[in-house]
Amino acid sequence: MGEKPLRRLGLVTTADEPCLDAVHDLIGELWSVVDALSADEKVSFETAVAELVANIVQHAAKGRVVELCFELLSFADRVEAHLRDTGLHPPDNVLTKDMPPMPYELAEHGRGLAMARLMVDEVHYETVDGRNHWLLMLRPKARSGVQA
Amino acid sequence: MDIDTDLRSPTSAVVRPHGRLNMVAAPALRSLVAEVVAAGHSMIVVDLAETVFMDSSGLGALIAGLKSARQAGGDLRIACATEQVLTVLDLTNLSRVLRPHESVESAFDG
Repeated sequence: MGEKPLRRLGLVTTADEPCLDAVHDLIGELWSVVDALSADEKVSFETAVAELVANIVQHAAKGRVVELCFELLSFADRVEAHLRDTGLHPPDNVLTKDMPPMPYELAEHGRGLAMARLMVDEVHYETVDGRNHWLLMLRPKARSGVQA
Repeated sequence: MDIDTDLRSPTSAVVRPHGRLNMVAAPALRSLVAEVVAAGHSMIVVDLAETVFMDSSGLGALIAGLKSARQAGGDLRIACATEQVLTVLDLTNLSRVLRPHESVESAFDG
C-alpha cells in the first residue's frame, strides 16, 4: 500500500523479554495521539500485538540474538502493526488462513496466535529478504475513522 | 512482576499479581500457586485488580493453577478482572472455566 500514514512510531530492538515492555510503551504512545478507536479496540489491538511479539521472542528467537523491527502506523481507516524479525521462520502449520485453532479448554499453551487472529481484522505473514514480516491490522468501527 | 500472597486460612489463600501477566511473569505465578496449593491452601482466589494486562501465557498460568488446585480437592477462582482480562477471557471462551467474580469475597463465596 502506497498511502502515507497519519502517524508512524517505531523501534528496533532485540527480541527478548524486556522488549515486551517497550512494545507496550510504544502502543501507549500511539493511543496518546490516536483517539478514534474505542477502548475495546485499543485493548484488542494491543493484546494481539503483544501476543505476536511474545511468539517471536519464544519461538523465532528461542534464546538467540534476533533483531525485531516494530512499527505502528495509523491511517484514516485503520491501524497497523508491522513486526519484522531475523529469527526462525514459523512452521507451515502455523500459517493457515485462520491461524492455528484455539486448543482445548484446559490447555496451558498454544492460544497465542489464535487469540491474536480473533482480536484484529487481519493478520498477514510473509518472508521478505529472509526476514519474517507479520502485519496486524485493525479497522475501527468508529464512525469518524482514525484521526491523527 | 510482584505477586502478593495472603494466606487467609489453613486451606485458602489470595494471590495478587501486580502488573503485566505475560510470558515473563507467568512462570512465577505458576510456581507460586503450585507452592501455595502444596502447602495445603487449595482454595485459591487470584485477585486481578492490579493486573493491568494478561496474555495467553498468563491465561495458561491461571489454568495450570486451576488444575493443580482442583487436583488437591480445592478450586481456583478469579476476582476483580480488568477490562483487558475480561476481553481475553471472553474471546477464548474461558469465562465459564475461569468465571470472573466482582470481589475476592464473592469469589470465596462461590
